[in-house]
Amino acid sequence: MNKHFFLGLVPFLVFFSTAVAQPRVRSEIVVRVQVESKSPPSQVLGLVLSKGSANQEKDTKVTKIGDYLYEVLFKVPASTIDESSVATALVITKDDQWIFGSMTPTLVSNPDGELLNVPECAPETVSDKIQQGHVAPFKSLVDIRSARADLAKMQIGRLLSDEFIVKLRKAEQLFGVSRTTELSADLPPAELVDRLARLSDAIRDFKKSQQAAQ
Amino acid sequence: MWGFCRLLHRKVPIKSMALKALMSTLMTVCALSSSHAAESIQLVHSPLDARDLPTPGDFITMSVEVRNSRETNLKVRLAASRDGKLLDIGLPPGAFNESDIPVYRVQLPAPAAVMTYQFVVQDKDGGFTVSDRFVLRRSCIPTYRFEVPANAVDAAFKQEVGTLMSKAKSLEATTQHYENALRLIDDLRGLLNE
Repeated sequence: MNKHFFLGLVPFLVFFSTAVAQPRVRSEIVVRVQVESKSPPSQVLGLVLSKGSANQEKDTKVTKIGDYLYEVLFKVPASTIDESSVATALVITKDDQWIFGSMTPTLVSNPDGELLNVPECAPETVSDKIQQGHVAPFKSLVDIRSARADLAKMQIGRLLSDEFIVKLRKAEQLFGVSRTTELSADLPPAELVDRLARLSDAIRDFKKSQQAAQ
Repeated sequence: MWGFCRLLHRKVPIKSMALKALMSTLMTVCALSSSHAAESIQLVHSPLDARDLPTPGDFITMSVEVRNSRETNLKVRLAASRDGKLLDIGLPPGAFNESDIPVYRVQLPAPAAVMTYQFVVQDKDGGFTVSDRFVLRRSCIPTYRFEVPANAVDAAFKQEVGTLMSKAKSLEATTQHYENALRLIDDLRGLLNE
């Protein structure tokens, strides 16, 4: 299958994207998208997706901003942006991996862009009712919860045995949900859940489509 | 776009599963863009209240009613952007609710800050219906911090308690995430061994 053929098709993949953007009163909008990649990019496309159309921006500037992190910068004519527009970037690496960047928060009114603007919740206040004698139960609670968390992590480590984790990592690559950080029991727990859930959905989906094709 | 869609229907061998999945999604999108929405089907979804969201990474259940249909095995997808990352999930078969309407449900990790999403359903005739776009946005990102006012009586003691309470809450969330991960690992073992 011709790579360029796919390049032309890729924008539609993101057609469903649900982020919203508002037009700015500028003639051009500068979009910055961060992409994680282990290998250097060989081809980069900026993608701007609106309700009824998808535009590719080939004129992109790529800057390495971290060990495995690249920033893709491209300009979009403001006239091509509407309320449904959203932007991302596709990087094809030298070893032929396809990696999408995250949805850019550059389009100011993109709700996902507000991730950066959502504040942390205010900390709770330690109640005045707590007295000196209450410290021991809290210490005990921390010990118990700590032991439970360690046990759960140990179980995960045991289940993600060498053979099985290799299988999962391979599946992540096959289904295009691989990331720079390798899947392992040492990932932050919320990320581990996210990665496993994505993989599970992708495999289930694939099996379903296979069954339908039979 | 029509050209792309016509090309998609050419029979070309594809080796990688990722590409197969990509092709499948693209074909869906092409069909979506070229089909009129089936007028009879209505997608009804009651969005969650962001205040009821669990901590990021804990599971939430999303459901959508497919009205004017008696099918529980339609192709229903959730297309979302969660915290800026794309998500495209095929929902498992539905079930009839107490009002005898097919309902499709899916569980997915709660966003840290915001998730925008839509449901898409393909009916038996190949027509597509797309739901409204929903936004689930927290007013703030949960933390486990406790604070002690500087002028509090027994400030040092309360600080110690606050640290312990913060640890206890954080460990509770961590354990919950690990338990979710264990469930998913079990699920994946089954899927990969089938």
